[in-house]
Amino acid sequence: MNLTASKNNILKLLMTVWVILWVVFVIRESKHGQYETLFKLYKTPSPELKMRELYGGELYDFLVFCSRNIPQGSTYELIGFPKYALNEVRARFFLWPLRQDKKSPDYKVVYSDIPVETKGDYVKQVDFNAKGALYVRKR
Amino acid sequence: MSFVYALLCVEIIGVTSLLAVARCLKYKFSLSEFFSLAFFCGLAVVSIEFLISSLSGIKYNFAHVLILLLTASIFLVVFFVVPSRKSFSVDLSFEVGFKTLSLLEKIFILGIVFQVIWVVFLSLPMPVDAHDAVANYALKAKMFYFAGGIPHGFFNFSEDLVAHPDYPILLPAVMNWVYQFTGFEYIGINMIMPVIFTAFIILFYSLVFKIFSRTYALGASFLLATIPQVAAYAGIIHTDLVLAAFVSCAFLYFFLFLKNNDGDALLLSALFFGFSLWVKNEAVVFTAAFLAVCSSAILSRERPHAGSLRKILLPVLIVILIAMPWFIVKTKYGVVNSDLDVSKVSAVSILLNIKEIPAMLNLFQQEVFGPKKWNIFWVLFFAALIWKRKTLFKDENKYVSLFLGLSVVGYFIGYMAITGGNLYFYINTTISRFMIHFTGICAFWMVWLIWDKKFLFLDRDGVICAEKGGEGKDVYITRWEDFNFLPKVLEALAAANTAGYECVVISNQQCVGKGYISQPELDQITRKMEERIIKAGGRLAKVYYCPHLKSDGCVCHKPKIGLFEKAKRDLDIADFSRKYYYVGDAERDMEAGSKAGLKTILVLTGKTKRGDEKNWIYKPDYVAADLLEAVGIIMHSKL
Repeated sequence: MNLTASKNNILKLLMTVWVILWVVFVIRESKHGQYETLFKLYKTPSPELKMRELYGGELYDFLVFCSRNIPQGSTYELIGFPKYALNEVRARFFLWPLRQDKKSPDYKVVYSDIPVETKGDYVKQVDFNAKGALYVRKR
Repeated sequence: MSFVYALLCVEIIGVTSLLAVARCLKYKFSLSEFFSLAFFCGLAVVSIEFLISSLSGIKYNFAHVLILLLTASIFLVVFFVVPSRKSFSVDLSFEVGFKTLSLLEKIFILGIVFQVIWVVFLSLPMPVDAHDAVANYALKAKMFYFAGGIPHGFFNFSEDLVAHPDYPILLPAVMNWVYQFTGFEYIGINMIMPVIFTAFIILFYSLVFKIFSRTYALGASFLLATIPQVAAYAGIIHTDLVLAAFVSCAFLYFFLFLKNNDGDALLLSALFFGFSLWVKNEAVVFTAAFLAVCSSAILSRERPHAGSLRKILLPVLIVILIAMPWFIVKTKYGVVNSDLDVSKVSAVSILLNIKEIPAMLNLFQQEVFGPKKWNIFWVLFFAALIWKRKTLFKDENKYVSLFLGLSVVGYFIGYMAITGGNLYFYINTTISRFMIHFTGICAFWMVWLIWDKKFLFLDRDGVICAEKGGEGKDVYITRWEDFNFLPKVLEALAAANTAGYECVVISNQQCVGKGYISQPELDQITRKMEERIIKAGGRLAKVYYCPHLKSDGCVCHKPKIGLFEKAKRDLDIADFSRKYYYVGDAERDMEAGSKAGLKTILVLTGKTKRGDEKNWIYKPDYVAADLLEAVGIIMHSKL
């Protein structure tokens, strides 16, 4: 390399610090539980079980139920998910081609720890699990 | 394996597309550059074709994909059969011998390979799972797949249905392409990102290697690959890393144009900036900055004439043509960004938000310099800027500064336009990702700033142009009509530039002191000389003249070294240390070069005949028949 000796030494020092930090950051990821999740996913055999591992069993099973029991072409509204929550976008993604319609949905998909009141037009179809409930619009 | 086939097919389409473009160029590709560039071309072509076919009502399924592949394959065969009009080439030499690499180079390569493997390890079993990745790209890709194209009314879907239908569609279109091979699946699609990351690093290295030594290029690539945030986004389906890849590589081609005056590199740059508009809306800022800086560079280097105007308009045309289908769609369907509706932005709204600038700057510095895992890179980058502050607005650096400055201003104006009391939210959720867009460019520029550039110093008369001969006033070149380039000089200067050398002229011109020519007239001859050199593919970085008479006793008249000292200051060279060469045709050139601390090469195209130098006190280190041979000596010598 075309470098003066002092610049060469500075760059070597910086590169050494950089490599050390790089290794530290790679190892540090284990603090956030990322590797634990990854190894669980690697051990999980099927894609469905991987999804269940990631979404959480309660949510995943509930979404599977909804996707199978809400007729194609129907619309739904998600209730009980915090705004901008990852679970909310997971649900919309999973349920497609079912479409969300907040104005006048055919179904209300409720997923909440707290009991949710729905307007009188909707009747509870099923309490799927502790958090998940499906409401259908009265005909 | 279906996933691998899907990406191989992207590569085939990319190779075909790139060959179609390259046949109009004389550009010399390296092997790794060609295939990594082809991959990105393939990504762009797949998404452009997807949009056009969807809007044409053509069902997008595996049969469609096969027809596209068949068409690409036919064109490939045609390209090999029909000769190209121009002589673009792909350098097929590929050094695979691990033994030829230094220890440092091996460390860099192993580090990059480890990073790629690590990113693959993180991505392989994961479903698409980050917020925007699911809400935006994965959901759109699923929509496209199940609808067999873009669903009817997609561009007017509410935000409750899908986030940001106004976003460019490259990533979901590519995901949809993969689904045609694999079927829709939740697991495995994440692997697109490690592949894009790898192609990015390879293309980055290939382009940087055209400017730096291999060690430096590998070091820069290692630096980029191991920035924690960049590596993190190599496992998440977000467009930020994809945009960084397109913009960085587009910018590197632009830099090759700035440095080597390579018009083909400029066209490739325009192509990539055009493609970047299919990736993310923020590409508009970068593309606008590119077109502005490109125009400025061309106009400052050449007098406005038909050729320079064509050079400016061609990139504009390329960008418009590539972006046109997408912008037609946006206009036709009235698609606007839910956060930034440009039609509602006004001077008043921007002025009202000016008061937010201190808060924005505070948030910016927290994000950049705060104790986050990747900010060591930005600390180093800004430290390099401060260290090399004197060169930030010199030569190519002034265009880099201008490009980055315009891009940053564009981003800030965007933030100011969309803030309505939500400044904190937008900065917090986006600035960290948005800084990835700049990472490739800044990584390169940091290395460029601290890189010890290569220079070639040379005399003018007898080296670049023929000595006029005659006596008295007739000895001097006082008109452009008397200026004649020596044979092979233009070729030599272009070769030196291409090899990474900045050419600097240092010459006595006492015809000015004698009153035979005025300084403005000399400047005009110099300007015409530079224009001819630029036309031939070369460039002079600097030209230094001593206009004084020898009897004036100035410090700049060779064999005195005043002009060499000035060049050292201007070019930020600490010491020549016999690392550079001075090419001259007379003894005083050898004396001046030696005293200044340069190696010297005597060319026999001027005053001196072979053998004359044997009696000199200051003998040249090398003797060459002409400048071309001198450049060959320099390129083959080891410093």
